[in-house]
Amino acid sequence: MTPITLDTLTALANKALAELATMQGSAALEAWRVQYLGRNGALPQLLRQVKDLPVGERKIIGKAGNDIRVALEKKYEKKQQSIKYQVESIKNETGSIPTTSYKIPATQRGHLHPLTQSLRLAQEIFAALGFQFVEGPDVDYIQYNFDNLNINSEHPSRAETDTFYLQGFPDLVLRTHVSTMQSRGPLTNNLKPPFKIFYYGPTYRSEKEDATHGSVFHQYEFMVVDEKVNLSDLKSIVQTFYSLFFGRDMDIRFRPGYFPFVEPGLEVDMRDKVTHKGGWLEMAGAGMVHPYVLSAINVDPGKYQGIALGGGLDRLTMLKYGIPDIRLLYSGNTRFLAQF
Amino acid sequence: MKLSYNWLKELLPDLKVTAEEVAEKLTMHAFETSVVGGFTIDPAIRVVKITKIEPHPNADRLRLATINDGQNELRVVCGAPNIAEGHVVAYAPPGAVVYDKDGSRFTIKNAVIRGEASPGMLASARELGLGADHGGIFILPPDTPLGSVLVDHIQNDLFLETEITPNRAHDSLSHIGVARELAALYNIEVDEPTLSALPEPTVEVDGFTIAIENAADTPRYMNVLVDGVKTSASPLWLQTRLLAAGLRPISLIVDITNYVLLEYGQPNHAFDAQKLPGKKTGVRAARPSEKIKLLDGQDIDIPVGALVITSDDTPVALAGIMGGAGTEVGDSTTTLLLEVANFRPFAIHHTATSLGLRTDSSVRFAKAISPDLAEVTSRRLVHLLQELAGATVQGVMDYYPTPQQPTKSIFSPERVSSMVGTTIAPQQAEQALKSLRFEVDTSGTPWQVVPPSDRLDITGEHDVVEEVVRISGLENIPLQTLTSPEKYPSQPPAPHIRHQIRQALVARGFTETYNVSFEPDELGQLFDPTTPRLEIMNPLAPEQAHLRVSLLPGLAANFILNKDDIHKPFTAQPRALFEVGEVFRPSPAGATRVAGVDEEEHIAGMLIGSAADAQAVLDGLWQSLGVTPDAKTVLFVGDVPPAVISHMKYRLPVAAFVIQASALYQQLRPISAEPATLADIAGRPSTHATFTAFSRYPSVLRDISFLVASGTAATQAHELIMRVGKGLVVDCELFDEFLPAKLAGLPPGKALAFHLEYQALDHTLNSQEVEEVHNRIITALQAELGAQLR
Repeated sequence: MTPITLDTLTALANKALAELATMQGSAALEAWRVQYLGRNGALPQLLRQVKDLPVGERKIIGKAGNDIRVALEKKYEKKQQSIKYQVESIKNETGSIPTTSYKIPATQRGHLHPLTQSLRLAQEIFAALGFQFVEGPDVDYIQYNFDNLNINSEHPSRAETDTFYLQGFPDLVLRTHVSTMQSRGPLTNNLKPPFKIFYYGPTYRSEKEDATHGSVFHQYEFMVVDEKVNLSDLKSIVQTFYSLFFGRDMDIRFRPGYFPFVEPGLEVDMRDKVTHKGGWLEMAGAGMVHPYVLSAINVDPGKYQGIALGGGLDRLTMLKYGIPDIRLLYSGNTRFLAQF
Repeated sequence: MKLSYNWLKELLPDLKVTAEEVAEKLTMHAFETSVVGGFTIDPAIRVVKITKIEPHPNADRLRLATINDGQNELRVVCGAPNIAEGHVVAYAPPGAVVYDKDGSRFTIKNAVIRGEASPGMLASARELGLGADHGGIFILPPDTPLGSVLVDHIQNDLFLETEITPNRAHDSLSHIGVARELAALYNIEVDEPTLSALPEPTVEVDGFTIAIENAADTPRYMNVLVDGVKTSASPLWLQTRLLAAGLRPISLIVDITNYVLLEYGQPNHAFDAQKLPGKKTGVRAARPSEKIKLLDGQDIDIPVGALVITSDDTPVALAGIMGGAGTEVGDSTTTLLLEVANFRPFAIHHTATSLGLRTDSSVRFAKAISPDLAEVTSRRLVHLLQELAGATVQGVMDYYPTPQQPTKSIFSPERVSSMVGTTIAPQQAEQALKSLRFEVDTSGTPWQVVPPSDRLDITGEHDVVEEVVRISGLENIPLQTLTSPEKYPSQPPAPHIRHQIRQALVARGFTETYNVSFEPDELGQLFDPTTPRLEIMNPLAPEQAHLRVSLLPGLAANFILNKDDIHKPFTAQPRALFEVGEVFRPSPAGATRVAGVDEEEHIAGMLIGSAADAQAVLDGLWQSLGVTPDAKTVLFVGDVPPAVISHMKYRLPVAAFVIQASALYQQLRPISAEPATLADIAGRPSTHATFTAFSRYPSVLRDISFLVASGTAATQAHELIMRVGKGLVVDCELFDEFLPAKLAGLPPGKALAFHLEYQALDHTLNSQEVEEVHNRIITALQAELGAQLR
């Protein structure tokens, strides 16, 4: 009989694993189990000698032997599952026995991502309010992302700690907000007042990720420019939007806020009828479009005025569907995706 | 910024509202503010003197302090390093309530510490609730009456935290700034602090002169020479104010300079005049290899170009950031050269950022303050030094070559109404502006208005409008009922077509995923090692260093994440994913939207199956869209390359496709369906899925197969399994159902077989747990449905 030592244990384990790796079929697997793990298998036989070892060795070798047994059992279970799948797929091809298939059944529907569902509803609401959709690129000129929005070169948000820049392209950024479209939208679509535009898309911030912050997230925004559009219009549009989006009448309040591209600048809160925690939820930033921004799109700020509001599509989605962590949205986890 | 409610009340004697109301008012009209804490000192806490300190017999770090309250003596154990015989301190007897570090409160008990009795304890500033300082016992001024109740000397206070917006950092990062805002909002007066008159500035004071080299970075530089100062500990009221604002009291002179900073928002510094290397003060850019030891004790190499204050050309302070240790005021200081200056914001911001030194001073300079503020601050500083430290003014120097000019602005009161959408009376606008210290001339049209000089944010009419809107209140903006327009604007085709494609893929069993736009590098290289990538200059992590050139690596990463689930035998398992998103490539030439970058929209799918399966998906898609796509549309359809499959460790075949979205959109007609109206949308049922937490722990699969009476429905068995297995059975799927009459040797009835998946939300299941529930299910099947295990 082979004496038990660390070397004999290791040799046995290696041999067993090597055989397991190349094995085919369930009969072979059962034979393997009997040979190594069965009552009179090689490993139990070795382990039976542990009790005769000197105390010091008994502890060390006993533990090593047990670890190997657990590891082999795990490997065995894995292999068993994989063989079972192979068997099933073969059976399936013959069509003789009803069993599972890894192909998607013709009747099975997939799932739209919750961000898509939110976006779609937002699009419908804004279309129904007479807004026109405009789209723009994720990588855009600094001019659209900062300069035209009255964010000058000494503004802290332009620092590398907040904004992603591209190697070799000093005039480009990954847009930090969809407000790039306040310039790009009217300019590239040749829009003249009056106009009402709605836009959305991925945005990027170089900030540490947590449950409520992602380095990539989605924003929606709208902008209206005409001769008399005002804060009452802004409040009415956002109240209508949130009410339809959440499916119940929502209360909105404005507070002073600061964004260089609006004046007056506002923080938009919605009374919390969603999370059952009560109080007010911060939803968006908004305001009257700054005259500087109007001038940048060749609109006379003496004649026209504008409103704009931007918020997080992720946040809207998380509130509506009760999603606790923004990272779930970008996880690709089907246990998450298949819920919606 | 942290504010003391008592301090605000002192500046606003007519402020008759609670701290909560103050916070609410500021939030709705100016800055987001909340009450964040405060302190109530237990009246049992008394003033005592330490008469004797002995070592603790059983602990090196502890000592035994004998304390006397004027009548009685007792001995307590104390671990603080800063106590000495003769110190007057606060004693909290057993039963007294003090503060813990998280702001919670606890009751002092009679204690025995390492064998020595300690009836009560000596308190630190944190334990009294005064502030975060827990560096030692809070030492009281030596003349505080022994045996008196501490709360008779320190007023209980509440703290507010306010987020001053960047546009208001010029005038509001101070107690007086916030008090002025509240004065305007409540229509009350600020009780302005007492200021001393200063002598006329001269070019030289007692041999001291100013010579500014960097004029562009130094709009103003004031020096006041005072002598005869006595140094001591600060009075309690001064110390508690500093503690409330998060500063640590140091010594009378330093505390006064910090107090004035918190009061007026103007940074300032006191040099010990006798420690200065010379008498000629300068401000210049640092030269290569200059060094300084700062007040906080660190020796630094001054970055070339950083603004420094010099004395006879030797740097003695980092301008606007921190003073040097060599000229620090100390116990023997008698003569002070006070510096109250103004520096260019970006110069200070740049140096502070590059050194990672964020001080109360640098923050305020970096956000810009008015140079006019230096004078009033000097007068306040001198007043407190005279009152508290016995200072005498020797003279004043003031370098201010280009005094700040008032920013006049026109203002038409009707602009406010036109912006708000409701009428704001001109009188109301005038009142609002006057309450904010604007000069208002209503005699012409438009009006002429002049903001106070500290309001650097007011540069034109739109800023003035904002002030009136803010003060008159945003809560009164009226709400209108909106309806859909008669005629809808024409929409670009892409959003609708994109949605149609998404729905078509979902109908074919595909589940949508969103990946971030950064490439998972290893998978990206396996799919495509050749296409050049755009590189992020400042990635957050090495794995986010490149923009993706394809959606497939992201989908493959999703398949890896879901590998175990995809390999389960459940048929309802999502085994096909798709994504719609942008990909990016450098583009040396060509008509791209952004010069140098070719950003394209792709639609990509990945599924378990063969190339033929992927092709079948596309064929079905084209059919439902009614399009025969051209050669440019499909960028890839086929098996996922073996190298990728092997990296993914997949036993099942994986195929994929990639569609160039814009090429496809060009071949499709915009859909002319009438859009939904607001009423249509409002009329829809508003039910939707809500998120359910799922387990991140591995699951265990078990099959169960049994015979039941032929009339028993599979759904009955399914319901029973889910009910009995509630909590641990997360999925249950029928995979076999037949009448075994066809099989020989079995009794008549029906055979059912299910896959069961066991999983716990919070731990990895062991086999015993699974066995137990599985047996319970079997027992229930036998009892309720008369099932027989096969």
